[in-house]
Amino acid sequence: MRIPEIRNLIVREIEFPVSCNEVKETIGDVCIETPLGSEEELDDVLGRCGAREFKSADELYDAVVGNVSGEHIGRKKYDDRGPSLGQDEVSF
Amino acid sequence: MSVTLVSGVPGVGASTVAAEAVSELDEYRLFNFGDAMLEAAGVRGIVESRDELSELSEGEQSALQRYAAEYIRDEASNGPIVVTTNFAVRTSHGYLPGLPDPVLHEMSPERLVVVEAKPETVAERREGDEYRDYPEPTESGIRFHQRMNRTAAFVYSSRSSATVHHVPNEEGAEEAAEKLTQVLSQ
Repeated sequence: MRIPEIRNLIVREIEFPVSCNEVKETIGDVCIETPLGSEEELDDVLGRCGAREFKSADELYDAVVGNVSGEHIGRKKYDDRGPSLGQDEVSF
Repeated sequence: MSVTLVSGVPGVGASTVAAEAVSELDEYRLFNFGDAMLEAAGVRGIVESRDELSELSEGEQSALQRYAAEYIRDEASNGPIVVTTNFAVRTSHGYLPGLPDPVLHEMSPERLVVVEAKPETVAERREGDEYRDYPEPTESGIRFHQRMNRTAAFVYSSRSSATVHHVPNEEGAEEAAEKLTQVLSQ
C-alpha cells in the first residue's frame, strides 16, 4: 500500500479518538511502500511515534508520514524527470 | 474511471465530510491530493512536512501537482474515488489554481464539489482546531477564498465538462456528508 492510500484505510478502519496501541492492533500489519519499492509495516512506523493517542484522521496520517523510515525519503532535490525541481539548470 | 473532487477552504470541514461520505459507500476510496504531492515531494527530498508545500515556488508546485495527478489517474482506473483538494490554493506568493489545465486533464473529474459554510462559522472552527495552524484568520479573507473556490470550480467545469455541486456544511459534518453521499450516488 502506498502512503496516500493509508488515509482511506484510516477512514474505514479507525474511530477517533484512538490510542496508538489500538491502531497497531487494528492495522499494524499493513505494509506501506514508496514508489521506489522499499516497504515497512505500519506497526514499526508507529513504534517510532511518541503519541499515545490520536484525535483525528489528520493527526494519525501525519504521524505515519512523519515517522516512515529514511528509506522512504529520496535523494535531496532529486527528480527522475530531468533538471531537479526548484533549481536552475547549470551547465559546466 | 470516476473522479469526484471535493474542495473547501481550510477549516470548513471538507475532509471530514468526504471521509464520512466515503465510509458510507463501499465502492468509493478516499484520497487527498496534498498527500500524493507530499509523497512525491518526500521521495525527492524537497519538503519534510505538509506546511512546507505552500512555501514552494510555483514551478516546484506545478511539477508536484503533475506527479499527484498521474497518481490519482492511476488509482481511479481501479474504481471510483473521491479526492479532497484545493480548487484555489493560497500560497505565500498569492492565490494559484489548484488544478492547472494539465492537472485537470490528467484527472478528468466527473464531479466538482464545493463545501462551504459562513465565514464566521469557518473562523470559529479554525479557532477551535487545536491541531492545525491556519494562516488567514479574518472573515473577509475566508469569504474571498470561498469566492475564489467557486470561481475556480466553474472554470474547471467549463474545461472538463464536470458538473459542479454545492454542499453546505453549516449544521454539521453528518448532514453535509449525507448531501455528498447523494451527489456521489447520482
